[in-house]
Amino acid sequence: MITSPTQIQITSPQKHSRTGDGSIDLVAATSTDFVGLRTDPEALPSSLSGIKSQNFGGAKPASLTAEFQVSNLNMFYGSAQALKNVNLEIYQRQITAIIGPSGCGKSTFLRCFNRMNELIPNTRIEGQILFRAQDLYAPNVDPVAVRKTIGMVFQKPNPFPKSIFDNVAYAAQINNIKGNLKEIVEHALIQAELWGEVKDKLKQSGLALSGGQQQRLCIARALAAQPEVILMDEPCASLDPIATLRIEELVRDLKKEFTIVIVTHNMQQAARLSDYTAMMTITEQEEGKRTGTVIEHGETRHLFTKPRDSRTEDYITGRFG
Amino acid sequence: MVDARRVYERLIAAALLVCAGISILTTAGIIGVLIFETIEFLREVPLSGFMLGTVWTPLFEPAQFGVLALVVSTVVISLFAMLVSLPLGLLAAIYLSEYASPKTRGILKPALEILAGVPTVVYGYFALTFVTPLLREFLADMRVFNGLTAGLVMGIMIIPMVSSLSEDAMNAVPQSLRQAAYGLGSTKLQVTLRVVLPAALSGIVAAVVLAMSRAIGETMIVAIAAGQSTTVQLNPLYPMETMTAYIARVSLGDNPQTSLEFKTIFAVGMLLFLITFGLNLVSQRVLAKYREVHQ
Repeated sequence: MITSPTQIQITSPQKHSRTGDGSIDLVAATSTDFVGLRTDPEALPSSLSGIKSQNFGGAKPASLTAEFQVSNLNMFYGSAQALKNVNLEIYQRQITAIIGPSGCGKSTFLRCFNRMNELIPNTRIEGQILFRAQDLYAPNVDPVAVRKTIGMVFQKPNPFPKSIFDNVAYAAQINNIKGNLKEIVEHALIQAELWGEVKDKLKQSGLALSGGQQQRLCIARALAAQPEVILMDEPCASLDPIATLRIEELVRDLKKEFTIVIVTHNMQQAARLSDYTAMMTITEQEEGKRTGTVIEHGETRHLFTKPRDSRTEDYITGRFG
Repeated sequence: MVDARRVYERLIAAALLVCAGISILTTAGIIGVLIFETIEFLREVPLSGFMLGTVWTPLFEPAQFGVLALVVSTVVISLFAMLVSLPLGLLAAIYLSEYASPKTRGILKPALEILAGVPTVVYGYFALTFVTPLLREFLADMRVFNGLTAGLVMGIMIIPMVSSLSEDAMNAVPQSLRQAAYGLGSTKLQVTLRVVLPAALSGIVAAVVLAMSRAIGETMIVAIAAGQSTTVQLNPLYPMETMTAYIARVSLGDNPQTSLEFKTIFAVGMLLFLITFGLNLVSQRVLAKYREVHQ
């Protein structure tokens, strides 16, 4: 077979061709034109090759595809810099945990992935986050479309004061998910491992459920929007240990279909749950303004057993944080 | 020393109790007088004739005491007031709570509250000398004194009340619900209409009920601009006399205090009190339920 130059360009960097496929999925899944024009896999930014060398995790395994590529990310609340020079790659269908001491910007960083920070006035971002080779912050990208594709589960369960059914149905409706609404809701509740407990009381208020059930309802709601990625901001922070374990089991199952980024305060949780871990820390601190960055990123089993940065070692052994 | 302080504290508490007591006693006194005079009135006029009659001519011969004539006018004018204040007040609240930047809100909110500070007598003259002549350009049938103008201007007067109470209700919706909705890929309009408004609904209903109670109790605008009527009047282009306007007119007149004519205002006042008291009770119930939901 004669290989033409064009074919080489598309197929030889395996990542690039996958990126192209990803964009097609994105448009089909949300029936929303993400940016108005689909990403051309050949028109990748030249800076891409630079990211890998800055990636603290070293070379990524050949079997994994990058979902997000964060390069030189700086984030500001007004004049206060919250994130400084963050570089990171997040892999598809893997669980990436973000750990670090309080106030280092874990949640702020997580919210950069679905542009939630923009809901706060006077926030500003520098640098780049590529999602399947599409710059999330390009001027033609609609933040609403980003959030449709990249779902989020919050620290405190926040079901709407609506029925269990309507909570999940809302997500499907606003995302124009095609199909029988009852089946979509049922499917999402089954995926979130809540169906058995609520199938006879779908008309009850979501607020009547226990904390752990409410959080699974929120996960079901996020799933009903049919995202590609699920961001979780300390989803177990307000739950008891048993409810926490249920959520963890659920997250492990969801990994088969979704890329998951989870912020956690609980190092055991990060160690139990995640494939990759990013360690963040506070680098500068003055007058209540704190700036954080990612200091180490790698496979969880390596990061927890052989941390390369002494600050990571101090944190995971409990010497600070 | 300790004793002196304790006595002092007791004195303060007693003084405060007296202050609180004055307003309660006044209210009790008003209700007492209303009940007493109403009973006197009902000795001479049967309750059925009062509540079911449709002609209200207590000052003429033969005197008839059908309060429905006043009640219908009150309801029609209040409906027009709600027709204006409900949509405009609610939209203003949505804008202020969900769309306006903090800077815009800082200018618009006080401006709306100025509207609430305009004396109602000014609204009354505004209705009679500006709005009615303007409307008569288009509505040939319209009389100088009519229910429509009074209702519309009353609606404008109530807008700040509806908007400010509704905005409070929408502000009380936890930010976490908005975050949840945005996180699912909702647009601002979807967040507002499908999450914030339903969550604030009981607060908004309470605001509407209170506004209705205000419209029914409003006196000055109708006394100046709505005119007088003696029978059930359904055409808003014609003069309509509300319960409040009647009370104002007779209080200012020269009927002797012992006359039956004079007692009518207490009977009408009692009915007015029962209606607005009922509406306020409903709104408090709704608000209490609303607080439960958000706890």
